[in-house]
Amino acid sequence: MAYFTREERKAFLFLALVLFCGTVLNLAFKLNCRMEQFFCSRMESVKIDLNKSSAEELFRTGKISRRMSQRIVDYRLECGDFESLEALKKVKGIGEKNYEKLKAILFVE
Amino acid sequence: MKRPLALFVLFYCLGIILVRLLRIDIRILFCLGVVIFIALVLGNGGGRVFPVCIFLAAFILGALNLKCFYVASKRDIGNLVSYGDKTVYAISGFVDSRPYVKDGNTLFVFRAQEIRSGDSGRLCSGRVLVKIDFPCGLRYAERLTVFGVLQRPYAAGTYKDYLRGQGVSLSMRIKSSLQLIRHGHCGGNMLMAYSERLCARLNSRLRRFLPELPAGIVCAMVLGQRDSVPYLVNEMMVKAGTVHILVVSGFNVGIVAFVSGLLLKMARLRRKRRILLVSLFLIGYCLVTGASNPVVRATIMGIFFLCAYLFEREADIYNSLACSGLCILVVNPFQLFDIGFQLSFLSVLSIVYFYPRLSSFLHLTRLKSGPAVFLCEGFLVSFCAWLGTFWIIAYNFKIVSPVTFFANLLVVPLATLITLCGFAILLSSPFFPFAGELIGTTASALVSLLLHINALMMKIPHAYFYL
Repeated sequence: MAYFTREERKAFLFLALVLFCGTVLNLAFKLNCRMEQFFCSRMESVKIDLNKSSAEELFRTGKISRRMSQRIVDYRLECGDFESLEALKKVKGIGEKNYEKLKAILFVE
Repeated sequence: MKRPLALFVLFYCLGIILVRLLRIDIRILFCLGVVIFIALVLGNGGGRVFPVCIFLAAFILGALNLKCFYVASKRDIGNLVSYGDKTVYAISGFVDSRPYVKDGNTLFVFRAQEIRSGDSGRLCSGRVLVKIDFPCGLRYAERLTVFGVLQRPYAAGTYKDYLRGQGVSLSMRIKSSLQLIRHGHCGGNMLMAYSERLCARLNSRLRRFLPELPAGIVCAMVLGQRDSVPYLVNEMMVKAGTVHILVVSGFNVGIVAFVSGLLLKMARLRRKRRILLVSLFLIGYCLVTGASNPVVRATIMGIFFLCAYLFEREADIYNSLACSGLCILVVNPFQLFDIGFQLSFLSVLSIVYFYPRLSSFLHLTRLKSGPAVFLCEGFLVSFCAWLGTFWIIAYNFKIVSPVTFFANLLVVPLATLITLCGFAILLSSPFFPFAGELIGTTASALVSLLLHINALMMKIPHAYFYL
């Protein structure tokens, strides 16, 4: 009979537990899409929606100035929602450099 | 004398600090060093002269090491280029650090070997910080020729000091691909180059089994690759005081030691060979993760403890901590002023010093309930680490996070599980890809839970405040 030390038993137990959880979660995601949304964070969940955020929220990210965040909101009010992130370049003061910075923290649904 | 090595290193650090604060001529330090060495030789017979001289010698050695670090060679590129020089230079050399991408720019340290201007050229040495305005997939030790204007870093204090601590005296900005020629050959340290390639392969392996966001976080926890951690996640963890989980440190080294020891034990290898192989695995992991200060510290301490186990001696944590500090400072004494170095060593020191004392003061041994012991011990460790580090964080980053105790109580066990899942994916997926997928699903769920908990902590009133 195989003899396992205490550490070996803990390691095997951990592996078995993780595999079991993975199987259960995979099954649960197939049966209920909402569970997948809750348990699997997407990049959008840690970014700010460009079309729904206020100037204060944009400024609080620390990536843009208060003036720039206000310009983005003003542009949105004038011309409607942004269709894509690329449309940010149409806002005065947002060139390629600023766009690259904002791409990391914003998304468009 | 108890712990002479720790005292030796303490005096060594004091010597480094003295040279940083005062301007002392290097010749005076050399003369003092000679006098102390003579006193050491004469006082070798016994008495108090020898220990006093050895600590003074440590002091002088630290001072001399930093002083020598300040002195650049005549061929150093910083000495060849004058302030305000607008000449376009062509510099040949190799990439001397792991390039990282930030805000669409590629940044790396470039080791210069030859500098040309027009028809004239000469050999040179030294390091230049290069910023390229586009991602270009460079690798460590890749040979390049870069064209551009060399500039001094900004005069503002801490960043310039940080660059000087890395041996960087100049910077260059590259805006176009025409300013960069890739030669494709490998320069630099071959071991570091192979480690970087292995790290990239492990990174891509993790990304195969994890969605984008959890992959970025797991890669940071397991491999020390923080490029893909979203900016807002990083900010949130800084505010909650839990950003340390994204840094590879002693815990990861402990896992590598444990897992490799376990596998070798199951292979029924003898103790000596097992310990030797585990030490090699630790060194390999240190190189793969980029040999940052916390990992080097943990690796040296781990090897110390393994050797103590091998030679059936008692390991002393203070001596092993001191030895790891000495190894780092001998190579680069400027690391003493690096925030990462300070946080890494002070957190371990404060846990090791305060935890036993507070534990006996609070009579934790009287607790019998398992969950209560787990909670109290976890809280106490978090508190002890905070005691040693909060003032450095407040001074440098101007932020205080009272929520950090409770956040760490929940986040650290989760981070432990996520890290273990990350290692499990790397070990199992080459043989059982299906197992890698299942473990990946579990890891994604744990990452999601961790982010939810962090976000919840941030909603607590006065969770953090800026000074």
